[in-house]
Amino acid sequence: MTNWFGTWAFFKRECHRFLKVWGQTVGAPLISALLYFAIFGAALGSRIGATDGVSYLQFLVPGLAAMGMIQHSYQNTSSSLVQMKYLGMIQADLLALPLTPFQLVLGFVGGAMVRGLMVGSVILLTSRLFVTFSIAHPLVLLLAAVAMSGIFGLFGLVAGIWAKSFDDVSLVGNFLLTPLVYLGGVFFSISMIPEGWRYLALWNPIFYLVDLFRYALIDVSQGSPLIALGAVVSTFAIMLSVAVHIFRIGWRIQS
Amino acid sequence: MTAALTVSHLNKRYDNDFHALKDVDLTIEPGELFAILGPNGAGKSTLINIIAQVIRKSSGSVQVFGFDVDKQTQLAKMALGLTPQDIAVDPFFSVREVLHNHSGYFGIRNNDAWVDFLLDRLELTEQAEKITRQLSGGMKRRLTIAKALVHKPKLLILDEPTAGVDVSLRHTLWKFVRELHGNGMTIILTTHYLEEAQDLAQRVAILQDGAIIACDQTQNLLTNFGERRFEMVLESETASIQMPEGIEMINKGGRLSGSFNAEQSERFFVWFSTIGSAVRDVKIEPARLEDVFLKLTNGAER
Repeated sequence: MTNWFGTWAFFKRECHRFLKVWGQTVGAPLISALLYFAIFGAALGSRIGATDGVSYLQFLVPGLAAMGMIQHSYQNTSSSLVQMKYLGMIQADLLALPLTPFQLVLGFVGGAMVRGLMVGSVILLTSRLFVTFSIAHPLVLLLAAVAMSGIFGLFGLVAGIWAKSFDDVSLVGNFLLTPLVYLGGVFFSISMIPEGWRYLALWNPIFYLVDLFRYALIDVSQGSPLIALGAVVSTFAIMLSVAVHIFRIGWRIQS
Repeated sequence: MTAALTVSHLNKRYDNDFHALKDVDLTIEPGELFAILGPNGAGKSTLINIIAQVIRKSSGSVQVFGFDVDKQTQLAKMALGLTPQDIAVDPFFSVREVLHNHSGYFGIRNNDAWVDFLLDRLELTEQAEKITRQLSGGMKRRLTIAKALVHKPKLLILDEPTAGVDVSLRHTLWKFVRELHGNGMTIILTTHYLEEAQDLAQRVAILQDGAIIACDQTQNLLTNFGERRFEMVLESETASIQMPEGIEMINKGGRLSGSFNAEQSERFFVWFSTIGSAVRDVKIEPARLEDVFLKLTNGAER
């Protein structure tokens, strides 16, 4: 027996959950994107000059979109799980459901992907009002966007299962995710930073994601897009099996 | 016929090495209304949550309508509806949406008629469009019971459904439970209100320190372990009457009180017929499950 309709229903619940509070889940990233454009577009951008052969704003757009997707897909799964823990929903609304660990993970990560893709689209559409760009490699863009929201949805899922409170989730967000994102080439090209630091930046996995995203959108990249794509897809696959395994053994949620 | 529930050699040791269930065996037949009783910490919720696959067992086996929880995990879950002890509801949705979602998780596409029926029976119809956050505690309790029933489970498990709820909800709930049972549903319940268990359950298991110390028809437990209390008022305070042998009673100024068990009842009534003319008033109560419970669970101390 494979309860795919149940999986679909669980996935829909994950989507409706964030759409019910769309102001903070989709509206907020729109506002921050507008703010970044006000700061960099009107105030600072013109002083930075061309970056990797494109205008600074053009360089910035893919970075902002990638950042929004990473943050929001992480938040969707991590907050959903911590909320379930906090409200005591783990028993009857998660563990007792007739869904396999794989199906549960699929539902969770599906919701994170939808939110990530929505946030990414909102940021790109808003950006288009300020900057001219066209999509260089649409298929790569789609694949990269799906894999990226998937990876961070899964990352949020694992963090949410590990976390005992909302504090733990923001701890991971603030002390791990945000530094990696900010230093991952969202706002600058690694050619702008000193040699020694550049070597360090190459150890940051998010650098490759942002780089791939930039390649897909404006055909600018600092590494090899093919290797980046391969790395992204295999990271997704590894994360997926880790998450399913964690559910299977009931780590932290099942005594 | 396949049993509704078969539990054999079930053990649970928590990570802190607490041995919560010790080699529990239990078989419940289809259509039974069964009560699991026991003091706090006896292992009732552990047992129920293992059956519902919310907690992992350490060893032993559990089958729900023949579906083994290890091998036919999802089918066993489908056959069962659980109302956990602690109230928890999805805070983003309305009552109707919660029930719609929950139907979906169990693979049910169009469940409107049954959901309406549940709302009606649990007196939630007026709250159907309210967001669950706005519900009172009692209303949330009703919703958790409706949730457990959306997929018409063959086995319904109610873990202390009446803890902290008002009289009216208790009345509504037990009426509905009787209706469901009348329609053939197998029901397991735990409760600390022993008169409820005595009223409802055909069979009772008493759990203590992780082991079943008694499991029998409610009537048999009452007969075997119950005592009937009596009180009598004599015609005159000073009337002297012959006391029956082996039945202890207190005489307080013409008021006699005491109790007798099933074995002593013949002797009691024979004696009573001999003193009939000296008695002005008499009250004899039926045996109470509460007394049986206390007797069995405090056995070691008495």
